[in-house]
Amino acid sequence: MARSEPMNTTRLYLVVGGIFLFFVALEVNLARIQLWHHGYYAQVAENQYYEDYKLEARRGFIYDRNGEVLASSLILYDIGVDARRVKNKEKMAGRFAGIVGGGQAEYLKKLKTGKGFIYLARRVSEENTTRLEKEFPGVFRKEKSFRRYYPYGDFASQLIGFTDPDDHGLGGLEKQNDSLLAGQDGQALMLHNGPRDESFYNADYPMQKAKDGDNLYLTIDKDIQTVTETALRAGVKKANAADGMAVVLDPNTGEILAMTSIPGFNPNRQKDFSMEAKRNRVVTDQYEPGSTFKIFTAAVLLQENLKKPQDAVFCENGKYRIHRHTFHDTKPLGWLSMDKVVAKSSNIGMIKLSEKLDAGLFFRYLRDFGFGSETDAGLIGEIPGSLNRPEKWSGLSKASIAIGQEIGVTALQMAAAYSAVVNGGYLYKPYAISRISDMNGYMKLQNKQQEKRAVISTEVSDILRGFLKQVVDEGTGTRAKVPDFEVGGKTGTAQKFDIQNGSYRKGAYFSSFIGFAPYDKPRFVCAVFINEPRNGYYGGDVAGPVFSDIISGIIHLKPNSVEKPIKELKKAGLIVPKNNDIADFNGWSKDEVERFMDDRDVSWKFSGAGETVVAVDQNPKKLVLELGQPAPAAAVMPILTGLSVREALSRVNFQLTDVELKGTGLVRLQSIPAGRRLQKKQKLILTCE
Amino acid sequence: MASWTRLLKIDWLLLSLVTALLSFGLIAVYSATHTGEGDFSSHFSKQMSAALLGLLLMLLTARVPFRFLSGLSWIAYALSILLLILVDLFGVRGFGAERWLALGPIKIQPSEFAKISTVMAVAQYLSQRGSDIKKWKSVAIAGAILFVPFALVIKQPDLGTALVFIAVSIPMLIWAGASWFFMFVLLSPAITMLISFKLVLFVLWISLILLLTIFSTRRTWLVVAMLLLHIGVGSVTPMAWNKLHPYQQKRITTFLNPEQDPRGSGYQIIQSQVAIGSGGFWGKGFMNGTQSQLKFLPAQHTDFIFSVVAEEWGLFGVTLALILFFGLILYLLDLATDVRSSFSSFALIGLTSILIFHVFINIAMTIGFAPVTGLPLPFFSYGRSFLISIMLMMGLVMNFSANQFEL
Repeated sequence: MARSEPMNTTRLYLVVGGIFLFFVALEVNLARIQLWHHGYYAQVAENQYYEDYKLEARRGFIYDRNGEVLASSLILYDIGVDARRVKNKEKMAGRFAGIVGGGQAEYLKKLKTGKGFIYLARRVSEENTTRLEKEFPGVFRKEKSFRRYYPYGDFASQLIGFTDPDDHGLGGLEKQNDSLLAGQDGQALMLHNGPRDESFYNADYPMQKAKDGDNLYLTIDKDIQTVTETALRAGVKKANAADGMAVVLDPNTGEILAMTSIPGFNPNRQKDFSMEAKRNRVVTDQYEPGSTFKIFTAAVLLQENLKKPQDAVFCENGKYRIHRHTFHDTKPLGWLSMDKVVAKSSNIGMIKLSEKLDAGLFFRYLRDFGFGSETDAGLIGEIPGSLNRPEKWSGLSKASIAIGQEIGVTALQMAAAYSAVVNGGYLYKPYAISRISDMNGYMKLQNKQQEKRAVISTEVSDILRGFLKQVVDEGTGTRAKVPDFEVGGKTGTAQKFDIQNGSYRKGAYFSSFIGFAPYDKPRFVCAVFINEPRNGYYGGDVAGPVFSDIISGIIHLKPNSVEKPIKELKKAGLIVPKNNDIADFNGWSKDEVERFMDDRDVSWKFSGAGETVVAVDQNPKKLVLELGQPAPAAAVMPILTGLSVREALSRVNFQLTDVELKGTGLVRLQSIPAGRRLQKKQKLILTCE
Repeated sequence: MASWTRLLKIDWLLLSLVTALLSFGLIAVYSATHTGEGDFSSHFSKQMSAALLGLLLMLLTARVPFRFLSGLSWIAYALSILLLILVDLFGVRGFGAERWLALGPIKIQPSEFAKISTVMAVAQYLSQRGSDIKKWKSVAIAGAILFVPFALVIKQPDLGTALVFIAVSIPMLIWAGASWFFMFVLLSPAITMLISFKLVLFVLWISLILLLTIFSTRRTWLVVAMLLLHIGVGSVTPMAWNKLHPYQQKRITTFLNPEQDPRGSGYQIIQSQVAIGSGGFWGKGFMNGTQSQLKFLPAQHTDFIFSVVAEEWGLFGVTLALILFFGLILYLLDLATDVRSSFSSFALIGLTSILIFHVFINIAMTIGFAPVTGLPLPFFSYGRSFLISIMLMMGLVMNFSANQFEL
């Protein structure tokens, strides 16, 4: 039969209208996705083909004054592998289990189930990585990361400090200089394809190389520090004491040669230790110095010509009452000259000698010696101690301070002030960082000695050295004697003040000995503090022998000047950083470099094998260009459309493309699409408008 | 009256539309399959040769004498059925379905050609003297002609292509003058199938059918038959669902909620939407689509070729493609009303339906509005059998156009 005509026209319109509506619906929805939600989808697209990779910067090293490594950064690698390219999976799994550790079955499972690129092992040491690479050449992709490592463990640890597992400085110099040491992480943008079987650097966003951190060189001398720590540890143990501190300064410069508190901690596993052990108590804690402080009273009396060394004073046979308070000596003493007052450490003698001393004057001298203010050594947590202004002094205060009570000092303040006493009268700022260099060993900062002020005259200083020598020769400090050397120093035995009870604790002492050596030309000031000894308590008995041990251990040592040129990093057997600043040669071919260098007056050479420069080492004498395989970034076609011809050409790798330009203006079309990997030389046509 | 164009039997407007779509499609295939190694990808050269062969076939088909066509329909239909049976027996497996038939070095997909021959056969039957669509016997015969290839294709199993046979039958029957009630009787089982999974809805739906049937007819046996049919279909469907291949089930459930499974089947739709959306108005430019060039788009040269077009040419490009498709469809429908021969008219409606169904389902699929059925986009999707079958359809159309005054 034939179709019926009326139905055709009406139904046709309906059908055409329906179809039209369908098309409109498609168009509207396409517009919705492509215009309204374009931003969202463009972002989704970008997020799935770009990935940010952090390129970790290496944390700067910490060295002692001679370039011995005290804190280093171990290089660790995350090892990845393209499982499809591994022929003998059992063998590889076995070797990983053998070298890195872990079960062979687990590696094998990863190798067998992994699609494309997989990570086999993370944070593998450089040594093990090299071993594995030798056995399976050309299969791995490595990603570098670092871990802080302190080769000597518990060694000057409170001074150096420690880091968290992410290598952020948490204490000591590590924290104070965190930004310097940390450097700047770099970044690479990687381009992925859908199946994730290929990923490559995106040439449009050049890899930002990591800027490694700076190195710190301390004023610490490893040997002096070792001797100091050993002696102090033995002394604390012998005295059955709670803890102890020791500082060694160069009195002529303020350089801190050794600094330690015991108990210490191992920064490699800092989590296992209490905060108490991590604090650098040499600067963070104050104490009542006691008798060691008498030398400053003597210094003021002499400098102000109020007394002469031979002026005698009656020591009241051990008991002296002022302002309803009785001062005692440890044993009854009669008439003593000033030098003997110091040597026998008579409280009463020193109080009576200073009777005519004006409180304000006394205060100003003590302030000039550095008490009541920070030493500015630049060590974290340093406190100023406590020295009240004379207006606040009670009737007893001057007498108390004269014998080292009613005043709070830090160990470092004492060592610095003693340095001024013995070095001719100059107060130097103590300091711990001698130099800062960048990763290539180039000096960025050189610290120098800083004289704060002259406190006393050389003559007075000479007299005081005599006083201190006498202490060791015939006074309370005879056990601090150093065989074959003349030394000086002062003992201190302070009863500990109990803040809770507001009185001195019976039987709790803070024993100290601060001395210098050699007598005629002091090179070391050494302060030793033993807290709450239970086996003897006189400073001379408990701390004196430690001082003696330290000085006999170091007196023959002559620390290198910190201003000596830095010994090369190579000496320490560590990685020699390549200078990344001269990036210009990176990616050049061997021939290109040769042509470029021929007519230049530069001393240079190649190292390694390969056709392309991959790293540049700017040795001061010679430019060393390391050859290797070209970086992957060079082999990927960048996005050129929309760029000016000049810009576009600057991005093209001419070793892999023959460029042909059509038209002028902005690049409209590129014949090789962006992101394509270039293996061999290809023709690239840029159409411009 | 006969100009030289008519003598050459070339419909220039049709040829221009087809050539424009074909060129656009080839550009898309080139970009979607470019590997960067050679100048031409092997996919592209294969598609190019199929296009040229198709053009030739189109021009040749246009010159087949009109009077032979209706007779040829039966032969083509019989041949198609034979090939489909052969596929069932010796077919090559691809994507879990037996769709391919290897004839020496050439692999063909008989279902693509079966669509055309079935349309031609139904058109031939409906235009025969003595067939009356108002009579149940004629409907049953037309239905049988459609059902045989439908059943063979669904057995392969190729759900998408099988649905084409259903989609084609509706417009052809309406065009032949079937009544609304009749179409309701025919189509309502499909709705019953969808609804059968929810008992409450199913009961409501059955009541509605009962009411409509009672108001439309007084014949009691028809009411009872309708009721039994729907209850039967409604109870069989859930069982049949469980017999579907898991990948077919997944396609349908994924269509309902693509984000549920972003790495599985839903991944395709999400990636397709990302490709389309990130294209923006002007697109990323030829060969610059990141979704396609970096292989994020699955099946980007076949089922999802439209997404490549949308990514690289933007809304501008896809609007152009939609306008070309709409123009072609409009032209074919216009032709269907103009031709004097009923056979031509029915055939044109059937062929147009195939085209519309493919275009709508494919594009709706890329934007997430239809399940991933595996229906390719005419002129664009890679696939030689499919492209040649489309060109053959266009050749038939050109023949009808050239012979539009013949009876």
